[in-house]
Amino acid sequence: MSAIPESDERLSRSEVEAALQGLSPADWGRAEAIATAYCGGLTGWTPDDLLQEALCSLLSETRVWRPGLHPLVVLKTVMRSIGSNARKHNDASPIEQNVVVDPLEADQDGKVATVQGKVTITPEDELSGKQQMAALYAALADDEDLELLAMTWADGLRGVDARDALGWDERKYDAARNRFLRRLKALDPDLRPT
Amino acid sequence: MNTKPTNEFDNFIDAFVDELIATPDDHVLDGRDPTAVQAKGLDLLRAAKQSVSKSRLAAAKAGYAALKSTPAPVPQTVSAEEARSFLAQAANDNRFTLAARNLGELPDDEAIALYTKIKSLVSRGEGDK
Repeated sequence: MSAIPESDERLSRSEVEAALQGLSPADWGRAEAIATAYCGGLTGWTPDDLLQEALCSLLSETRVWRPGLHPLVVLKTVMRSIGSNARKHNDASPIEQNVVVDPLEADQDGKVATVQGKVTITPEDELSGKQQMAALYAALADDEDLELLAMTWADGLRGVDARDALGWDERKYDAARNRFLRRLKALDPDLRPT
Repeated sequence: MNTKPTNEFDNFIDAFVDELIATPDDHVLDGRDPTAVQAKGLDLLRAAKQSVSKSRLAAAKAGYAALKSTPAPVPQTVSAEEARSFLAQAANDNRFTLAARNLGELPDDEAIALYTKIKSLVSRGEGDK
């Protein structure tokens, strides 16, 4: 727990609404990208669902918006919390949401597909967020630079520190970051080009 | 509560969001029509507002229904003397804390107002049970 006393200050509903209403087109794009990143490994949620749920939580004042915080940082925190609750709900549900259905393993009449649970991660892995990282790495699998970039960010490095750790110049770093954003868009069913 | 990264994925998202904020707008939009991107975001915001309003309305309706099911206190007309007599008894009731003052010195209207207030509190307390 922080030794710094927590402030009771929070934006009012109208202030929250005004802040969200004032998001620029690019900030909406950023919010979409954050939602898409969170949805990796989150069964049953689309990025739009997650973003809208975060907006609902803020507008209903279920989640607190402290003054002075960047709207995207606030949205990130709310989405993290919603995602975490959704995962706990999935874990507690009697229905295995992450079950793998193999269409080749049908019953004798060939009418009903056989469903087999597949344990690929341990509870410890889940706790450490490895499940989501695994989903992310799987989505970046054919681009080594993007995997390295994600690993560096997962180490908590960003900006110049991340660039230095990777040994890349600014141009290469920016190009990889832009490619990463494009790859995320490809993961979002709502943004995928038709 | 301060939110601190607790795992690799949290670290990743925190760094990613910082990077996103630092990324120029045109790179974030990457050729998408800014008006369309904003319109989509505002649509989500509008839908969220409607959803929250519906929930609030449902909560208000439920509150109103609960209020309606509670019998309303019947307004009573009492004389100032009756009110003072009731207040004198209430002063000895440990459910109430009455200011130590001579009830006899209370003006009639204040005595009746205090009587009404205590009666209303008692009625509400019984309604909650």
